[in-house]
Amino acid sequence: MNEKFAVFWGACAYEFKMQCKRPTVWVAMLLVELFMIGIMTRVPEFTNVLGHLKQFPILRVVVYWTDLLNYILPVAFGILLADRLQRDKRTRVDELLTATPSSHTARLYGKFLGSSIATALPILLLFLIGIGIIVALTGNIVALPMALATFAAVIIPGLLFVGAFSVSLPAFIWVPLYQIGFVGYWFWGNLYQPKGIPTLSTSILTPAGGYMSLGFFGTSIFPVAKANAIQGIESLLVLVFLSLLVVLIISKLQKWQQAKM
Amino acid sequence: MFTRISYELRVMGRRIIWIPITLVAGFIAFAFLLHFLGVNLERFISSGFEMFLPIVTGFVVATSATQDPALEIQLTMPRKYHNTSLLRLVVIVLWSIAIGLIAAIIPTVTHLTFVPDQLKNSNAAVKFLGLQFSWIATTLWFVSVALVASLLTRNRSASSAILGAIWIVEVLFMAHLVETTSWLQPLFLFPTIVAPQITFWTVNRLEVLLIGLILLPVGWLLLHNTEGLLKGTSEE
Repeated sequence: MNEKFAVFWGACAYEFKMQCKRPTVWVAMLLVELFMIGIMTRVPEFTNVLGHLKQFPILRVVVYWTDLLNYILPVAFGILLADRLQRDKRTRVDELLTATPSSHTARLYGKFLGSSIATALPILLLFLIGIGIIVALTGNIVALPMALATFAAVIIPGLLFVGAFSVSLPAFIWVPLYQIGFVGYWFWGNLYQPKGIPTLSTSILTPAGGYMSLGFFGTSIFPVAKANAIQGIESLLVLVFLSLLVVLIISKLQKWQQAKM
Repeated sequence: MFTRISYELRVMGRRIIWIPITLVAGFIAFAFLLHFLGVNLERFISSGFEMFLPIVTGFVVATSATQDPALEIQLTMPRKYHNTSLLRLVVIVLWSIAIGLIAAIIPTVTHLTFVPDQLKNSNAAVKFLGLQFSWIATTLWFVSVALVASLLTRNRSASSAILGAIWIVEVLFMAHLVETTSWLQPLFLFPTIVAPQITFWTVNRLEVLLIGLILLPVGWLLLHNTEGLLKGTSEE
């Protein structure tokens, strides 16, 4: 057990460092964030909230900012994580690692967590800048613990879910194909307002976080009409459970595939 | 020339051929399902052309522009890599457009086309040509942006992330934004689907095409940066 944990921790730490030092992650995330902020400054609702921050309840402002980040940024987050396993294949590191006695499953969990945390750093940074501005403009320090709660409840479960699928599924799907499918899924399964076409965007299986946002904090910008705290917890647990499950399944499938070779 | 194209197709892989075909097949299958669910199909089918085929082609171009297993050898060859890369881009784009045009026959024959207001009073031929021009303009825009972004960031995933974010913003925000911010009108990529009522549809399509055509030579110039291309492959 200790050995497996050591493998997990080693992979996690190494993937974290590697992804942190990757200029692509910072450049792409920065460009997407600038683009998002630029567009938002043209959205009347956003400028209205920004211009009259003190008139809105502080919780609503913090949740609005959290939801905004979780609207677009997970798309870039998922796409940037999708080439991690393929890189191991291309550089032949996977063959080298397979030859070691270390646990493949522990390694994949480590890879998933390490690279996901590193790729989430630019999102966290923008989130903190936004919260800093909210605190500075409103003078309300309560925004800080609220921000901690919204980040933990809305953004983290969603990013874990996206990260788990994006790191592990490209083991069996061509990376650009996964990336295309992921963009389509994010729109259809999270942001699409139901108008005839069946969608997951109103179910608890929405990593965008509509159920957590509305269920825990009473407000959301996602297409979820009603949600209570219990549904919020359900959504959170389903997302975290599926994140862990998909990594486990893909790891077993990879082992089975290697055994066949 | 045919031998050369078929060789490039083999280098890029059969997936390049299958991706637009799979997209069209997927849309047809999903359209059947929606038909049985009683959903209005016109807008959904048109979205396949104007919203999905362009981004799919863009992702493929972003992948192929900076990726070549033998890039270092390619850069030492008498035939310059920027010409090879441009040929690949042309093959990808023409293939996607060819598949799109063939697929476009289906909604035309079955009267399931979704026509913007500016084309409603035109005759059938103008409607057909206008609709094809619409998604081809968006495709060229996405292809050019994908090429430039992948060469500037030196990474296909970074380019794809940018394209993905643009796509989401275009689908969800642009219809409202162009009403309040007129300078965003030339950047409105999916007007037929999200705002068919606009009065500047024709102008917008021409502007989108023009931006795509202007960015293509920029991408071609960036392809001359061999050092950047090599750095890109090692930085992944």
